[in-house]
Amino acid sequence: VLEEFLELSELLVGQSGLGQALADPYMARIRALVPHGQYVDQLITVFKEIKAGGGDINLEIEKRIMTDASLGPLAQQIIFLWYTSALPSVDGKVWDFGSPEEYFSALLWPAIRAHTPGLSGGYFGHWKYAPDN
Amino acid sequence: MDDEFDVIIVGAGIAGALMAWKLAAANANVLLLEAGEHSPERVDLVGTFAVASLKTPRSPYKGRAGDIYAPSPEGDFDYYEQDPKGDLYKSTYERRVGGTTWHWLGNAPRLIPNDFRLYSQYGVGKDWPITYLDLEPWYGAAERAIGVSGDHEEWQDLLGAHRSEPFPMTKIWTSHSDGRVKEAIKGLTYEGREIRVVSTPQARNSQPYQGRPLCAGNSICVPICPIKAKYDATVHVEMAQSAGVKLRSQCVVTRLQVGEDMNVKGLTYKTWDNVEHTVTGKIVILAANAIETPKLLLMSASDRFPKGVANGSDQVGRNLMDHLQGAGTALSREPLFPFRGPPTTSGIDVFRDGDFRRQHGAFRMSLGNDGWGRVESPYDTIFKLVKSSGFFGTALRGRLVDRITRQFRISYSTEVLPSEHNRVQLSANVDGLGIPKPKLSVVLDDYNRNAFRKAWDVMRTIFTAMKADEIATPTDPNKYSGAGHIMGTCRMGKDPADSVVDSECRSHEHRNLFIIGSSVFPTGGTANPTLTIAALTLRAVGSVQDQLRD
Repeated sequence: VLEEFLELSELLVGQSGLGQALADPYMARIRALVPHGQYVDQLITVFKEIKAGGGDINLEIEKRIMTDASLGPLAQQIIFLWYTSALPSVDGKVWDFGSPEEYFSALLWPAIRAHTPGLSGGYFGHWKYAPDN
Repeated sequence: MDDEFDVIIVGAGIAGALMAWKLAAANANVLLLEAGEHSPERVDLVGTFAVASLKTPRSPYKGRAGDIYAPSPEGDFDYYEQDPKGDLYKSTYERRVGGTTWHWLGNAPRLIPNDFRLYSQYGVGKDWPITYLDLEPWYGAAERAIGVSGDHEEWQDLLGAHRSEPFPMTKIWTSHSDGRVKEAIKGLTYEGREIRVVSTPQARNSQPYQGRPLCAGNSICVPICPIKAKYDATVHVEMAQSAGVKLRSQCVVTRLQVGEDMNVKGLTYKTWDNVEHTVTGKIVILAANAIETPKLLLMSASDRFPKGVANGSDQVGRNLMDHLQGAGTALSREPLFPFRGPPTTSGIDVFRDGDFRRQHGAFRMSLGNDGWGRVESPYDTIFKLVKSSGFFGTALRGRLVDRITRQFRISYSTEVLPSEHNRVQLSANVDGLGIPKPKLSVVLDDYNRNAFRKAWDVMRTIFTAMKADEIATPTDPNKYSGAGHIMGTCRMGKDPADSVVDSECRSHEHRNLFIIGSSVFPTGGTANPTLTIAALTLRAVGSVQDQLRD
């Protein structure tokens, strides 16, 4: 299940090579989500069916997961979790973060060629130049 | 425990810490009292910030006993009582060893000459009892004390402000975004003024200084610098302790005692276990802030001083000011790569002075390195893209990168005039130690609203010159945010009838009582106040020492 969760996550966020180390705690957080967590097994089952079907995988994810009343909101939470390490409230005003390690591993910041706020890892003045990463 | 001292200082923020350090270095026996606690390890505070649901200025510091026994404001109502008939005071502060410098931005511009003579020059506000040139050497001393990085040539004589010495460190490098914007608006004018972009003097290190490292651009100066490259007052608290100052934290001062000779004899404080203690001193110095200091003076009312201590003028608590802020946003045509470096490294300072100050407030503008800042965070952006637009996968990633790397904001920070109606009083509500909370009354006026409108117009002019998309500036002149620049409430002046302290920060009525910090500002100009707080404090040291020798 964890393998499928990771594979589906990569398709949802549009990035390969997601860390195995975060898959465990993220799966646990997603399962604990109310009300979305109850649909995790169904989500994985549908994803397996999509893969077995052999069609355009992104098209099928959109059709069978993203537009589904139960699975869509769950998939969106998975996207938020990987990109930010947090799960938003219904209105997006409050974000529930996990551990500091997860915060510093959020995908959003390197995606925009920045760094997680609080940990630049850079040298004095690097901000004067366009990013080289 | 000792209970007699040469000097008792109330408040271990930047003013109290600098004063304590200077006096102890000259062998005075100094007690430094702080209502709040010592901070835990910096790394733990960063960890608390990392997992905080809302990344507010208080986010690293919340959830501790200080929230009960020495509470700090975070929102509009969680500590303050606000007058329901008025507008809201939006600024907050931090009660802990080191004070609000824990989460200050670090901008350290000076006030300019006309800020000190606002009434003489423009017929509004109030004149200070000192001039820019009176304070100028102390600005230099303050820049050296806290470590300010700046461009001396760029700031020499800017807005009439002479500099007699260079900054102790060369400027914090301006951002890639600053450079692109500067290029795009080169030569642009507004009402005959060139909209010139200049680097911002900042109290963060461009070289190792005071044993602290260079700024690494961690981008969270507010709420906490993870590596202490940004100055905070714990620097001088530690130096003061090394010089012999006795620091007592978790001690909330509740009352000043005045002797028959009108000198303040001592004070009473409560420790967090709700036990009262009394200490005496030859000199008492209040260095809380422009809300806690007047609160203490008002709390010290008695039959003999029914309006409170040092309040014969009835000015204690009045003239509460801030810099009212807002921001405009746009999408640049090219990626500017925000969220790298300090949140701001350049600004537009040309609107900080002019004849327009007769009609509306001056304003200072900051170019952001933090996308759309408080208007829309990256969390908001991804939420919208996923929830409202239904993006996922590579399309989401592409859209996310395209939008956030082009987000750009300008913020404005406007001057507020002193008004007797904008004030701090005592609330009937009490904190965890039974101490009155502050009751605030403020009213916005057209002097503020017209400054907002002018700033919006300048921002639109800039965004248009950049050929930016999705230009958005505020439209409601009754909406604003606070700058955290709490000023006024114990203003300095020549006339004891309309001021609380003299030009040396000494109470007109109680010769051994000094008040330091931004509470003594007669007007607020548009400079972030911390450097002026430091300069006034260092200037007052000599008078305190003279008083001690008497």
